Amino acid sequence: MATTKPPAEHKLVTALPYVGVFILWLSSLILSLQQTNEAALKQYDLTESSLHTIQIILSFPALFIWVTLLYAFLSFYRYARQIAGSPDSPGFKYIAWGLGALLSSFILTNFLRQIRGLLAENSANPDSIDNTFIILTNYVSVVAAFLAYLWIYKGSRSLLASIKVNLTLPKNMFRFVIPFAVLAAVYLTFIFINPERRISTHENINPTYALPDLLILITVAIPYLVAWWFAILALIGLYRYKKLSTGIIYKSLFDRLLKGLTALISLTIFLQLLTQFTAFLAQSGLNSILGIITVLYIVLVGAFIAVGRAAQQLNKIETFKL
Amino acid sequence: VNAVATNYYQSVIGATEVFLGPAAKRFVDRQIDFHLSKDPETINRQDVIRLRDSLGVALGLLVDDKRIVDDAVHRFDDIIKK
Repeated sequence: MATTKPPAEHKLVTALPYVGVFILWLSSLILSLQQTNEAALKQYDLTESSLHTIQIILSFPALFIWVTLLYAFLSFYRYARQIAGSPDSPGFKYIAWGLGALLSSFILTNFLRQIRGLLAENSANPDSIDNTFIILTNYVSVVAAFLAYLWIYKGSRSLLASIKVNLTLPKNMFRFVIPFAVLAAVYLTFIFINPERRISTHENINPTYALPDLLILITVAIPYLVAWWFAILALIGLYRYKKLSTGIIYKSLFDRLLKGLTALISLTIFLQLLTQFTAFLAQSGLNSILGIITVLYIVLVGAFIAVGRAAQQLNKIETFKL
Repeated sequence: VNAVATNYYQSVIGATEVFLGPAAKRFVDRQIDFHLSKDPETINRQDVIRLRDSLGVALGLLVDDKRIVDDAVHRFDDIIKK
C-alpha cells in the first residue's frame, strides 16, 4: 500500500495542535499551582509540596481528555477536508465542529476554574469573584454543549441529505421520548433539591449556579435539555444514515465511528449532568459519585480514541494509492 | 467508443460502490488518475483489468476478509467479460 507519506514539515504541522493543547494544559497547571489553597491545606493537613504533587497528578486526566478529544476532532476534520466537494463532506465537517466545541468547553471551563481560584484568593471580596466565575463557567459549558450537539445534529441531517433522505422521526419515537423524559425529570429534580444551587451554606462548597431559580431554569436547565434532545436526534439521524448508505466496507467503518460517537455523546451528557452536582453529591455522602465520574472520564478517553481511529480508517480509503 | 468507455467507467463505479459506498467514485477516480493518467470516461477493457488488480489489493488491506476481496474481483471479472 502506498498512502502518500507525509513530508517532515507536514508532520510538524500535524503536531502543532497537540503542542498547543499541551501548552494550554501546562498553563492551566501553572495557574493552579499559583493558588495557596489554604482551606485545603488546613482541611487535609497537607504540606504545600504534597498538595502541589496531588494537583500535578490530578491534572493529568485533563491532558489525556484534551489530547484524545483533539485527536478525534482532527481526524474528523481531516476526513471532511479530504473529501471536500463531495455531498457527504459538510456532514462530517459539522460533526468535527461539534467535537471542537466540546474540546473548547473542556479547556475553557478548566481555565475559568483556575482563574477563579487565583482571583478569589487575592480579592477582598472572594464570594463575588466566585459567583461571577461560577455563572460564567456554567454558561460556557451550556453554550458549548448546545453548539456541539446542534452541529452534530446538523451533521447527521447533512449526511442524510447527501443520500437524498430527510431526517424524520421514527415511528417508535416513544423509545427515545420516555428515557429523555426520565433524564429531564432526574436532572430537574437534582437541580431543585440541591440546597447549594443559589447560595452555599458551607464554607468549602461553592454554590452550583449562583443564580435565582428562574434563571437557572431558563438559562441553564432548559438549554441543556434542548442540547441533549439535539444529541438524541443526531444519533437517530446517524443510525439512519448507516442503515441507508451503501458499501459493505464503508458501512462497517462508519459503524465503528457511530459506536464511538454514541459512547462519546452519551458519556458527555452523563458527565455534564453529574459534574453540575459533584459538590452537592459529595457533601450528601455520595462520594462514590466522584469515583464514577473518574471511571466515566476514562471510558470517555477510550471513546475519543475509537472515534478518531474510525475517522482515520475512513480517511484511508481516500488516500489509497497502490 | 466513448459510449462503451463510459459504460466501463459506470460499471466500475457500480461494482466499487457495493464495497465503498459514497467513497467509491472518489476512489475509482483517484486510481484512474494515479495508474492510468487518463480521463475516467475513456477507460477501456485493459484498464478495467488493471483497476481490478489494484482494487483487489486495496480492499485486502482495508478489510481482513478474503470473501469480500474475492467478491470484488469477481464483479470486476464480470465487467471484463461483458
